[in-house]
Amino acid sequence: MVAMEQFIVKTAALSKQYNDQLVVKDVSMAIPKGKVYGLLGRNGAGKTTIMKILLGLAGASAGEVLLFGQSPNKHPEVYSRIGNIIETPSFYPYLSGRENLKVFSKLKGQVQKDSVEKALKLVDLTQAEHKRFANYSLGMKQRLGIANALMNDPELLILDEPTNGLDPIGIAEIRKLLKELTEVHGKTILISSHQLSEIEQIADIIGILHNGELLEECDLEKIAQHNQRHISITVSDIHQATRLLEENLHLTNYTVDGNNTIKIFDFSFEPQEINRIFGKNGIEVSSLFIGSVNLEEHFRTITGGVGIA
Amino acid sequence: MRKVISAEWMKLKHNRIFAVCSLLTLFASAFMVFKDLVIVESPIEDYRFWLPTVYLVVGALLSIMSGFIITFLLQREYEDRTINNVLTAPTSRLRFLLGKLAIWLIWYVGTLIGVVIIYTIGGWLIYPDTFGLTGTKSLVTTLLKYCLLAFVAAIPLLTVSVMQRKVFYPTIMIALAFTGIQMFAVNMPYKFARIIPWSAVVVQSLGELPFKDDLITLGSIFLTGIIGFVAAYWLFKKQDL
Repeated sequence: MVAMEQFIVKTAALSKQYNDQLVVKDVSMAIPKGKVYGLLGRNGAGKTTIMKILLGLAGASAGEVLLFGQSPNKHPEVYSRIGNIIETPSFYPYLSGRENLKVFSKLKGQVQKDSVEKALKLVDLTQAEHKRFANYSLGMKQRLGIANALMNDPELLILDEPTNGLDPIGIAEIRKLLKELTEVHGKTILISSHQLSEIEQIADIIGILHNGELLEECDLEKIAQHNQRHISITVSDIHQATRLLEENLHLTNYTVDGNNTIKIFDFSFEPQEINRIFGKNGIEVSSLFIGSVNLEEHFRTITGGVGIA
Repeated sequence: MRKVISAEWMKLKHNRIFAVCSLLTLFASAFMVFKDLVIVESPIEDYRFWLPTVYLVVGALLSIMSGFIITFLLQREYEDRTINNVLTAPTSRLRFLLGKLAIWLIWYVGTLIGVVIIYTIGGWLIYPDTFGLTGTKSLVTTLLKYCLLAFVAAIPLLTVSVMQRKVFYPTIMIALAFTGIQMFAVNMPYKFARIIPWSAVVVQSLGELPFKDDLITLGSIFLTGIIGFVAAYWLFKKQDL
């Protein structure tokens, strides 16, 4: 059990309603210190709204937010311990990258004198520092956003789809940077994405968000262990097969997909035994193998069959 | 607060709107002087009758340009979404609005000083025999009073800008409406003109008022300014970005 003060971010029954639409429903999440929390969900799932509420850019309709163990409404100074990218990186188009960072370093106040240079160097933008932001490519804009987020050496980073628009090399660099920030510098990161592979590679904990609801929050390691192996069987009669599994074999830990395929996560019975019982009851088995579920399949299972993109 | 104003100042680098608005106001003022000096064959004979036209023209120019300035200051922050970065820097919403108000005031006072210089020179050139120090004092004090009161009465533009977010024209339309009321003030029934804040600016600046009316006009102007700012802050505080 992690001590209360070790949770950098904690929400309790957080909800957000726009007119009649509930876009965030009773979300209770907790991000321990030094961990990367990946918020997974399709576009419109409520990821950005949650991040905006955490950053004070939007108000919660109900529920509570604690940052560094304190309510940001009562202690707004906690915001100075956070770096962020929300939606698209947004800067003054008529100013250069360097000038933009200078504006924000002025606002952040407690930054070192060479923080602008360091940040530009960190994201490899020193060559384009005098170019106007309006003339930046999407990848450069994203990198400037990351530079801005890191400039005040924050303890918590809230990054909304930070690798959008980056090329594969850029994505790998950002991933490396984020890993270094947590592993070496002990930063805590909340990162949202609809790219499962990206989250899978850097997150310690994932929260699966679907239609504003946090359906699952768990360690990525546990998911991997839990879904390590399963028996995949494609049958001729799915209804009879599932009835047999439940009534004759008392197996309930399985999922069914649209291709008459059953995935059984319970190894109480050998695959051959299941095949024999199906055959004996007139169910044709066209394929049977032992497989493993990746995060995408796990997401699909949790959200009731909805893919990530 | 100083760092907010300083950051606002830095944002104005490479910015043309402020320069264009100032130059337009200054050129229009210079043209008015040039017109009375060179073009018009029989200008107003007494400078004391010339001065009210100066106040109305300058008041109108600054009022219209204020619409553009405040729109640029706020609407662009919403449009470019830079408001997110500013507020999460973090900057409190109150300081953000105060910063905008301060920059608007700095532009306003800076341009006003330029206008005062142009018209003072103009007064001396058009009325070389009569204008003198009395005319200069009258021009400077009344124009400053008129325009600064007009600025206070125009603060509700901030509220409109907060409400309009990315849309630019409502603030400009409202600024035009305020200007229209100011210009129409001299033709308005007195009992209304002293209450409506934008016409009260004219009543307060151009006339000798009894104590009660003095209080009513000033009360109307400052109340509008205060309500305008409080409403802007209240709406902005509740606003989801």
